[in-house]
Amino acid sequence: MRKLQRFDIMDYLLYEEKREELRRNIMKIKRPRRIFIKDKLLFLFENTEMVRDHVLETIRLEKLFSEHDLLRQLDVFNPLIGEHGELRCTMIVLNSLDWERPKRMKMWKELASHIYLVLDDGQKVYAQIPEIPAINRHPCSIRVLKFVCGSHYPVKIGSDFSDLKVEEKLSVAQQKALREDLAASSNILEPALH
Amino acid sequence: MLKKKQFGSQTYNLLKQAFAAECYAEKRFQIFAKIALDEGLPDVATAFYGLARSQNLHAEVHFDLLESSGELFYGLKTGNTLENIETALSGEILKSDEYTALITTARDEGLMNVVESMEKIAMTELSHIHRLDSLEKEFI
Repeated sequence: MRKLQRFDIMDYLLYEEKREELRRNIMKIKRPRRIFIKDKLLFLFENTEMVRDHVLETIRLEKLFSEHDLLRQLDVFNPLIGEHGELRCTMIVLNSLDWERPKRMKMWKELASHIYLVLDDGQKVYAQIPEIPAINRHPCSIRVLKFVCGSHYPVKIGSDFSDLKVEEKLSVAQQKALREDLAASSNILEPALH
Repeated sequence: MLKKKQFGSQTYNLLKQAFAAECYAEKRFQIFAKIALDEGLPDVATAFYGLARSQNLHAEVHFDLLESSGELFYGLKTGNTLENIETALSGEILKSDEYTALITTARDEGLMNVVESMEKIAMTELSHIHRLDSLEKEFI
């Protein structure tokens, strides 16, 4: 998948004009890429369009008008886009408020390496933590994960963490969406700004 | 000033409620001011902004009293700027946890628009953590 560049990010006013149309489209894109594992974990499998949405919505929500702030958002969110043959996702650990804080912290740190995908050839690939120092230094209930899938695509997602052993089969729509992301080209996003 | 032994007293609890109410009132007045501006009523907007500032001052009084009770406010420490950056980071991490509870509950109640909205805000917390981490590194 292609990383975002400055020209992918429209200015605030243009985004306001196109937002409704873009949001409708992004909701469709997000639907099969939003994967819940029971009421425990939520995975948002990211692609270039979704990450552009994070950037544009952050700029809008926080009224960030300076070029410096805009470029910072690219630094923050671009690492969520997978390299070739890779899927990246934002994992949100749900339901953790019931747990004592030390247990939560332990889970936030250790859970990530126990999350896995089962690929179409039966291979199990475990999540890795991409190099995002600012985020990795401060573990919280939102973690960024990457899975190296190569030329295969996922059919199941699971966790073999001691406190959370669970596996879910991905729906046909979910498999198709992730397969498309793995095969994504470096096309310019729509609407093109130039 | 509230003494340490008064922590947990009914007074302390009411002060916490009063602090939250003043913060809420400040925000409400700011929103009213913005609406007045949109309606082309700048004098009314100025009045609302003035009232918002007053609520903010009240909130600061409550905050000082709560801090002087000797306990950390909501478990978060206020100190010099470096300490405050660290506190801000802890606060962002705690907030991300609160959003996850909201996502779970909204999903259980079929309120997917709330789920999507909370996801969006949770993502912006990543941006805040990034920003605060950069600030912390500049200091150290």
